[in-house]
Amino acid sequence: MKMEFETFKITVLPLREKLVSISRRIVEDGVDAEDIVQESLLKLWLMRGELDRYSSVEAFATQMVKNLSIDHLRARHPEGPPLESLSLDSGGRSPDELLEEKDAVACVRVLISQLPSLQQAIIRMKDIEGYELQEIADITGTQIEAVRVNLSRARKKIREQFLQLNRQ
Amino acid sequence: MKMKTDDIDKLIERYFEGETTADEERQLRVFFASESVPDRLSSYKPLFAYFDEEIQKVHPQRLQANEVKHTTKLWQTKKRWLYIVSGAAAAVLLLLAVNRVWFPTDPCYCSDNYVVINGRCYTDIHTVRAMAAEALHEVATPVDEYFPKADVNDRERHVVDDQLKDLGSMFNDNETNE
Repeated sequence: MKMEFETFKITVLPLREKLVSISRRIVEDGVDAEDIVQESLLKLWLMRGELDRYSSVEAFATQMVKNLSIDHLRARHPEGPPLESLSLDSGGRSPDELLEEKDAVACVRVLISQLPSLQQAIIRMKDIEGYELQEIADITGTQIEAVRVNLSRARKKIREQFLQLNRQ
Repeated sequence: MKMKTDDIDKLIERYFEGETTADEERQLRVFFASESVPDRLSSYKPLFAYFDEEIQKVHPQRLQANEVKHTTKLWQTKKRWLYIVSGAAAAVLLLLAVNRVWFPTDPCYCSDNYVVINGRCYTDIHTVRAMAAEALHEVATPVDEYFPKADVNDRERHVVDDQLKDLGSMFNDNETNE
């Protein structure tokens, strides 16, 4: 991990500033651009073993940020879609249907997939990959507090939506 | 694993503030996978069950996320080395065994006691003992006692000395004649 992070710090992190300005030009919003770059950095980290296959990591990272920025423009839902519309894009089965079928785990899966993609990525890093906040902050080149706030928002939103569905 | 509900409540609160460590989150997952979850907390079960499921997918070798990622990795490297070293050791042992079957060594060297006289090996226990006793005696006895000046065979020694002197003078003569 330490060794890999040193490599990542040398090859990928220096591109950060450039990636943010590329994204800002597309989404025209500094905060969103920042989130998109953080998400890209997490994705690059998770595929760090395969980065050697690309002739230019910079070109690859740039393309990834461009694609994510365009995705962001297409789905302009900074706070995620309202609960009522969840059934439209959850692959046929809505969270409340899943709950009725006692498939609460699948319901959680759908709720997480509705989160903003940076929050999804942070939840994945923390709850599934088992990284600490400091490690995530290092990889995304941000403050630990920013990561914590994002993580907390993501978890609270899942709790809120899940409990709401349970009460129905 | 038994946990006080107070501790769990605090841990859950910190979890939603994003303040828990990876290890504390593992404790939460273990707790919510257990039978001892009180009803008022049971609505959290699916969330942690979902994470358990995903962890199984990402790290199928990890059982119930009981180990921290880094120790697993370390153990894997250790295990790989263990395989290499034990493989090499097995190969050496096999070679030795084969060697033993095809080229059996002199039975002499398998025996506990042996003595080599004029390049031949004797395992006969009496010969060995006799030679050992003589060698010990030679070491333990002071030189003067071992070659006493007033020997019983004093005359024989003189004879030998004379012969040696003759021999020596013969060589000297040969050299001077040439």
